[in-house]
Amino acid sequence: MTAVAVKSVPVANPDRPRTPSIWLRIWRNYFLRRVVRALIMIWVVTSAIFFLVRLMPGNPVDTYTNKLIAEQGLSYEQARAQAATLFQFDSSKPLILQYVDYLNNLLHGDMGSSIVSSGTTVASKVAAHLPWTMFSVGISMVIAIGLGLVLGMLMAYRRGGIVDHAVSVIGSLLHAIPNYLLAMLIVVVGGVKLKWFDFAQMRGSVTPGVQPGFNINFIQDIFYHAALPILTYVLTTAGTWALVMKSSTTQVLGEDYVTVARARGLSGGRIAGTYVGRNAVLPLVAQIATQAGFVVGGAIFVEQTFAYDGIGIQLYKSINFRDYPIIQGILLMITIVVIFANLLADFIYSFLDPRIRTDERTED
Amino acid sequence: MSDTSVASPSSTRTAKRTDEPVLSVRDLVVQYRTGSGTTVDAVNSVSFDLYPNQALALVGESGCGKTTLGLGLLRLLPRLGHIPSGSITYRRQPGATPIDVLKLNSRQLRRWRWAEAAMVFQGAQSAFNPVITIGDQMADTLKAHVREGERYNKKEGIQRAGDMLKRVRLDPSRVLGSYPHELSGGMRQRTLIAMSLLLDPRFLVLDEPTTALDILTQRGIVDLLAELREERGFAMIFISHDLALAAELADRVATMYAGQIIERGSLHDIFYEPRHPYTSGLINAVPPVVGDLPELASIPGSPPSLANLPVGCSFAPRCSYATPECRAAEPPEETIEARDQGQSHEVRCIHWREVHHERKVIARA
Repeated sequence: MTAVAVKSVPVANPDRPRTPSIWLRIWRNYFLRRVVRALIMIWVVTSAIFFLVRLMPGNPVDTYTNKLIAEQGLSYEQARAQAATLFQFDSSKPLILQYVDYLNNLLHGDMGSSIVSSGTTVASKVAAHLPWTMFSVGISMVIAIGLGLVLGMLMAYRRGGIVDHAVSVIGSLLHAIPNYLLAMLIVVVGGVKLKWFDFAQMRGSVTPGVQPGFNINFIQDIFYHAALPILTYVLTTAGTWALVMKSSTTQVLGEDYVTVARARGLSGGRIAGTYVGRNAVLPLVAQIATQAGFVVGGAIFVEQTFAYDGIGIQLYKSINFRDYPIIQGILLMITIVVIFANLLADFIYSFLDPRIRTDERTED
Repeated sequence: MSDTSVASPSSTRTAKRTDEPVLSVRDLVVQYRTGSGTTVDAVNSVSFDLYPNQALALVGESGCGKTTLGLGLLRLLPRLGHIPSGSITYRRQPGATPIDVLKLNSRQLRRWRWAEAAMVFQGAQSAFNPVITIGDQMADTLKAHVREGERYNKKEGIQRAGDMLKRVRLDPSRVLGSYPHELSGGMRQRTLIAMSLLLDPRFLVLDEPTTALDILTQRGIVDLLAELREERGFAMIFISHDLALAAELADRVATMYAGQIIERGSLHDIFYEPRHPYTSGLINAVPPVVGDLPELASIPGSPPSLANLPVGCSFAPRCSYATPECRAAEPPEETIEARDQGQSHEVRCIHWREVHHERKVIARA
């Protein structure tokens, strides 16, 4: 072997054009490629939602007609006529035209208006409720993942110890309980039986009269109202993170470079952070992104139980009324959030793992 | 740097050693706990001395405890391993106060490792943290050993790492900024060697440092190691199953079998006058580089399970010299007359007088 390391200079290939076309260069860019992929994903999901929503039995007019018949005792014709005049919704318009209209409006930034409560735009509805869900779910994911990573590493470092056994049992138990059941349990046991907290006061997402803004009062208040949903999400997910992190850490602890780091006399903290932790976290990054979607989906029932005024409750209501634009709007937003989280995970991943970056470069 | 008159790598020393060893190992035992709660002795009452600038080759079949011994010397055993008895004494230079390695607390141990004793691991591809650059890992090593009250000087650190890389004939400007996966196998091994010498340790454990490399790269690494040893005067323990490679680097050879050193002596004595049937068999199993290929001998059977060692000599079941006495009691270590003047020769075999080594077929595979 010639020992002198030759600096690798890309050799110009005479058969290939010196500068690839601009499109090829854009395509090769890691960042742009991921963004383009994300946009295509959003379009596919949006279309799927559009058609699936319309595959549900009944439409807004039918649903409202039935409601009028049941509640006001009108005849079918009367009720139908009243419902039809109330909604600006033409169910006889060909589906494909509805779809084209919808996409066209969407491209212009218009998500449409509610069919059921006229005058309410989808955008305003989403803007009023999505932040609460993102706030509660986001905070709980940060807490759950942080807690899970620390517990998981602790479990791996002290395999067979008390923490390991306790977290394993409690974690798998809580993971097995659906979050809405746990939510009910918290309300019934903590709120009603033991009276640890005043459930009635904790309903909603903010106490009426508290001025939104960046002040202690407001922040305290929103945390007070979000406390129960956050508790539920954290309890049901932290154990899973801990178990995943444990297995990942255990594997990394067996790697040669950890032994070498110990041989090099590095401090325990440095080894745990940069050598063990950073490598153990890699396989989790992708999972974190997918989990974001599940938690938002699960929020529907939890918010319902705690009467937390997030997007979940709104989605539930709009599905009951077959309020197509609202359903589409909310699902679109959730899709974007999840895809964005995935995108972020991709970038974090490539930032944490240099091998990913190089793989992309050598692909062509 | 020590005097170079005794340092030429492949010649054996003739002067009687009067200086003190850099490393003295006495009756070292390394135990592993098994899942069923029992223990196995992976290393069993091993004793040897390592003198400054000496190269000791540790040879033996896979699973004989070579690597465990290497890890044990730096107290780097995995979770289930521990050292119940024996002693490891380290002396930075002859005359210096000896350090009892097994009594160091974790802080002292951390500072002792790498600064005094470094290890080059098998498979350099997995010896580096894959997510940070070589430069950062070099810096980590230097930072961990900054003297108390001093601050790490980044510029000086880079300079030092760069100089060491140049010494192993790598281009620091390229290597320091690279991630491990961006280097070739040979470059990684050189980098690891450079890193191991960064703090000028007095002894180096090399665990099969060339196993994963092609023959030419191996050659380069072996030459480099010989050169560096001469230049820097460190002692080394070269763990290998490759006798030819061991012959090139070592002054002394120790043969391990089932956790014990069964024979140790000068390179010449071990290769030409082995007194243990196992060593003799091991040498006979190496194909010659030149000449006709004789029928290669293999040692019948396979190494015993450490959890279930036979009574008496553990090699007896595979040995053609074995007698009932061999199976009755474990043979003691006997010091025998060395052919190589001034060198000692120890063997754990009661039939050592009968063992006459010649290249021959001792048994068919």
